Amino acid sequence: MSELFSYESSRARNARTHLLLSGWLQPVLLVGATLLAGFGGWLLIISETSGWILVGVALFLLVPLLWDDRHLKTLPVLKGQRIDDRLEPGLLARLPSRLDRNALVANLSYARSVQFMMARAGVSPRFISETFGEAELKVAWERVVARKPEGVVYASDILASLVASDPALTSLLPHLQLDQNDVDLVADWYARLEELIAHHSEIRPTGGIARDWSFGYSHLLERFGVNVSDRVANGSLHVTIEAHQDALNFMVSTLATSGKANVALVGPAGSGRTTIIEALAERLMKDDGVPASLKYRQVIQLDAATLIGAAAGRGQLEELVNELLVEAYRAKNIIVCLDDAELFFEDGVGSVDLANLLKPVLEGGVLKIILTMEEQRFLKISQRNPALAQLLNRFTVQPASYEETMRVMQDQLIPTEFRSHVTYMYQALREAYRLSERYVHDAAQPAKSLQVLLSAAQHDEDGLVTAASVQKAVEQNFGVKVGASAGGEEKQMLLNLEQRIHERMINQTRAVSIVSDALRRARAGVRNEKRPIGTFLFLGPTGVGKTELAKALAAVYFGGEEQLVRLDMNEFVSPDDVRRLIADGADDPTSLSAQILKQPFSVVLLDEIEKAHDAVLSTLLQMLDEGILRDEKGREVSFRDAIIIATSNAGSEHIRRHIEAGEQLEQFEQALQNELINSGEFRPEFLNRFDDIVLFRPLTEIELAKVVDLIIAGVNKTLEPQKVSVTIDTELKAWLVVKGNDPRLGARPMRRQVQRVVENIMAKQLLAGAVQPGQVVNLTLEDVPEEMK
Amino acid sequence: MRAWALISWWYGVGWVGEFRLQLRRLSRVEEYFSFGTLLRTLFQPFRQIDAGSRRGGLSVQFRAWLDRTISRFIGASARLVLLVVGVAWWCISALMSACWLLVWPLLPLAPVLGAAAAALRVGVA
Repeated sequence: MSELFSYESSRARNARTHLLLSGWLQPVLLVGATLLAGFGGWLLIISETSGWILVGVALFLLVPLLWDDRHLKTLPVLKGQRIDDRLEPGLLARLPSRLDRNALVANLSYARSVQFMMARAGVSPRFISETFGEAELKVAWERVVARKPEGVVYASDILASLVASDPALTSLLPHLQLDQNDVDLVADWYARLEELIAHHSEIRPTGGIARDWSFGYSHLLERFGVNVSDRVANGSLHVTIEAHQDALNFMVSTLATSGKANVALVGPAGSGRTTIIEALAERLMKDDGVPASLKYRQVIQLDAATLIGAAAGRGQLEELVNELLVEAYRAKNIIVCLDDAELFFEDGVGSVDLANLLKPVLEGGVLKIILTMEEQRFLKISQRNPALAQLLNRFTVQPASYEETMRVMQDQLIPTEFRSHVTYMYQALREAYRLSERYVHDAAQPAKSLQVLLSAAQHDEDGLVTAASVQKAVEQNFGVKVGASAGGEEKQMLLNLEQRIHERMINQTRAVSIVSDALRRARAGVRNEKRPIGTFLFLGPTGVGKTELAKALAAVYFGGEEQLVRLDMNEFVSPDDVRRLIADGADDPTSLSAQILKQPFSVVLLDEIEKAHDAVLSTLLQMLDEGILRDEKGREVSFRDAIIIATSNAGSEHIRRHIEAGEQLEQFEQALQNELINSGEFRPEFLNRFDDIVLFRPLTEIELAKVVDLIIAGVNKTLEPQKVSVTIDTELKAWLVVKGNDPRLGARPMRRQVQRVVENIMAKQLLAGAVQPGQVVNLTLEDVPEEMK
Repeated sequence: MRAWALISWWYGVGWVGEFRLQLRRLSRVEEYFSFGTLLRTLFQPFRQIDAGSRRGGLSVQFRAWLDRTISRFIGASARLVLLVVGVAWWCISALMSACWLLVWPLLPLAPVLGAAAAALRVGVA
């Protein structure tokens, strides 16, 4: 162990001394020094010179305390690569002279960084195997040094490397939904937080008491805006954005010029435009590398919506903005930031266009201005007003990557945790990123991950926000099911899905089984997440259960028939109807895109698909293939949590012929598809987009009799509030099957027949008072009036 | 051994570190009073009151010049007062820092010095 760790090294001994001095000894020394100094002083007052001795001893007692405060508390890391050269002092002080497994586990558990790792990822030093020895520690330490060639090594770094070096430990990680890289990242997370805390406790330069004395007042700006620089100087805001360094450099160099000293930060909402402004304000307060013309400039953020709200009258906004800009110009130390500036350049009735007011200001370069704009809106403004766009120095802010988003979440969660009294696990952060990418479409990263994480705080488990908490929050907020493995009740339901569906529909076992398999694949987490849950084309004659299967699925699994988004495609017969399919929800809430945005977890039923126009079918291709449909505003609408079912009567005559010839569906499936393509009823690329083309066979008389039972069960459900029920005998049932059977229309006429006979008889009996609550009415063929026969 | 570590730090790195710490404290006082800014902007108008140029006849121009001069006078007075207060504060801080740096090497010897003072009956008539 000697080449790895020296118990007697100066740093190790200093660490142990600090542990001693920061414990019980510290108050003892402080109290002792105070009492001795007090008593000594009193003796000197009464002219007793022995008081000098006491005062001298009291001062001497301060020496170890000062040593601890100035040196031992912050033991610097040494250049060597032994454990005692670089290990965090807290753990170093506790390491015994001989390191064995138990000592290491006990001491690691004591370290704050390891407690952090246990809480955030569930990785505990108790995992360390019983056979752990010097060789294992050596391998782990070499890995730590390779990963972190310099700087302090935390106990969490050692634990992460111990896990990596032991295959038995690594094999446990999947149970925690982690891999080795994740464990290393959690260790890095702790190190980063330590850095942030150290940075936060540094004294920030403010420019001093006379900083603004030679600049003008900015009362109006302070009233309508937010002084970002003040917030930074007061330490109420902490900004760390490595991802946006380029934007920051661009802003500093552009704003320092004497020409067009403006910057337009263009990017999607949530991509961190406002954070860049805050980072700029922080940088201008620092001494390093800031041009003199920008040093200590105050960044005042004006919110467009607030200004528009404050100046409601005609011409008032122009007047107010003009006053604000004049004040900023006179003050001479202001950088004006117009947040959501696109709102100032709108056209149309009731909107505001300040282009003419701002153009001379931007052109003259007399005022340093930053504008933040949404990308699409900026493009529109550029199209409408190219002169304005030319005056702006545009910088495009890209949404944060996965790594950047994780870092931003890790930095920003600490105050959230403090406020919400919860602890976020690493797995929750990763899940928030994954699910926000999938379900949040109105913001960019990192804002959308943070949005999901914040809502997950309400679903904490004993103060811990886990991946499951995030899933619950997403399920609640977006009405979808995202958990890979279903819970007990749901699992049973999925396993018995066919049986549940058959409670509502007769036969068509193959169709039911195909659809059920798709759902089971989705909930077991083995499906392709970049596609809808399933896409099916149901082919068969009318009245055989195609639509009924879609309804049954919506009712049984998706939570009710209202989860069925049904479109009759015979209403989409011209190219102009494409617009109705993808219309913005604000204009047409019944469009397909609007309905799916509202309830992504649905069964989408495209009834009589063969009647839709080719342009409509082409629009649907991407939806079937990738689960994405772009609405008329270019937004992506996700169908990846939906089952898409298209139905068609095409080929029903062929199906009937083959069935009557005694063939099974599987025998002529392919032949039928070829026939549909050859006859031009469907394009091959359209049929190719479906996971399965499912044939529905005509119902036999026995099956129709079962349909009668289902219809009677439905009638009884209607009668339930009156506590009356009805049954029919075999003879009446057979008669209903004969009367209600029409080979061209399937089971549809059966419903009408039952309605006409059973419901009418019951209605008359109820009105006549012939039926009492609790009574079961048994109908026979004799009860059917002659005129109905 | 621990005592030797303490003593060698106290009269070596510790004393130098303490000197640097006192320098940092003085530079914070300097930053707070912003001496550089005060000197650089000594005669600039206070808070830009009437600092802008005005168009008009001779009387308007004269009035503007007078306003600017008054503003500059107010600015210079305020800055001078702050400079005086700041310099005084800085001097007191520097003096205290110097005293502390002189006392620093004597602290480990305090019991001996105390005993000597008691033996010599220092402070007793």
